[in-house]
Amino acid sequence: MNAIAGPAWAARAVDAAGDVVVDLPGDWVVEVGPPTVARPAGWSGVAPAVVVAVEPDVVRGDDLAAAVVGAALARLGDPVVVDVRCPGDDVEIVVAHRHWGVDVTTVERHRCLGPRGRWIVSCSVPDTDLAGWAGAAQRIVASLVVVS
Amino acid sequence: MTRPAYAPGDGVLALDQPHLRALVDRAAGRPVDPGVARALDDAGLLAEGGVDPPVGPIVAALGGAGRRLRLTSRRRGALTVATAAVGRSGAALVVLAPGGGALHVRYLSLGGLARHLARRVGVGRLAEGGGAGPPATAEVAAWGDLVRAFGTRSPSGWAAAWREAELHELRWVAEPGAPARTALVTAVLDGHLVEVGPGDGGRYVVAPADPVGVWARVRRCVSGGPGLCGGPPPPPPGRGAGPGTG
Repeated sequence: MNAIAGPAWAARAVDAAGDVVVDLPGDWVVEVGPPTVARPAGWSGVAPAVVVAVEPDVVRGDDLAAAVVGAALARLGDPVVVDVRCPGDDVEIVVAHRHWGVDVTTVERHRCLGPRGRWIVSCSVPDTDLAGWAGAAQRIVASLVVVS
Repeated sequence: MTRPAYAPGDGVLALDQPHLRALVDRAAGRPVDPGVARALDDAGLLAEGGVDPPVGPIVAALGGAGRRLRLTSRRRGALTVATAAVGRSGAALVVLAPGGGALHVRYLSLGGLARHLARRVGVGRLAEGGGAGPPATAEVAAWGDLVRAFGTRSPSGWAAAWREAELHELRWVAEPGAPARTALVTAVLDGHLVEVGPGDGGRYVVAPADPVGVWARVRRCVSGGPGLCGGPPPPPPGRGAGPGTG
């Protein structure tokens, strides 16, 4: 599997028109969204990938945490919700699950943007690379910030 | 002996130790007691020249030389032992439920096995409402004291203060017959995940666990082997995962 450098960028997120804008390293490619999916160019595996999306709801706080957990359990394959944290006003969830035949661990960060909805950044790493990437995935989703 | 139960479409395989050993022997071409073979055949577990194809990966893993993991889970007055044998594409999981009796056997992907073990050791209880307000750190004098608190149905010992309590010990061997080591000891106290680690003077420290760290270590033990488990607590003396099939 390819070796790539750790995250060294800060994203510029939702612009004035409400579109998602993400700055990534030059060798990453961004697939047409929504959701926007970014992955290292030439990456042979399913993950890691950064997925950026905006949901229209305005749920926040404990209700948001409960909704995020409920969605993970309902939508993912064989999920284990490893951790749920609420740093600041965000909700961060770590879920181990099966995705397209690959065992992965996904870190997701949710932030309520008020009337503009909810900003979501998600990073999945294959479990075979978990030792090197679990912490990096958490840093990735925490480093992508809303600037508008 | 208990009659084997086999329903591959539903993922059901339950049988006792002699039948499981015979199944592994049959797959390896070794002679099997005719009476046991008849019971296996009646259950649909045998095919001409070997075992029913859906059972093939299970017996291959159980009869192979891959690493073993054994998770011993104690609730008050109840002991569950789950043994996994890692094969080429996945792992066979053999669960002996409280009270003995039948062994329940499944075949899982390595990731599926890791998630199964993680759930059992207490990862994921956050989703069930646990996790808030972790219990304070505690010290326990000896391994025997840790385990003794789960010997009866009544709350006792170091875990007496919690309404619901479980203790889980994950051990592994690199290959059948190799020395066993403890990779992880956790407890779940009223829904809170805690980890048991070595303290000073042979004591054990019970402290709130980092669930992401616990998950990563379980996953590494399943896929990586001994060198990757990293910093296991000292194993309780005189006990091993053993080379057996269950």
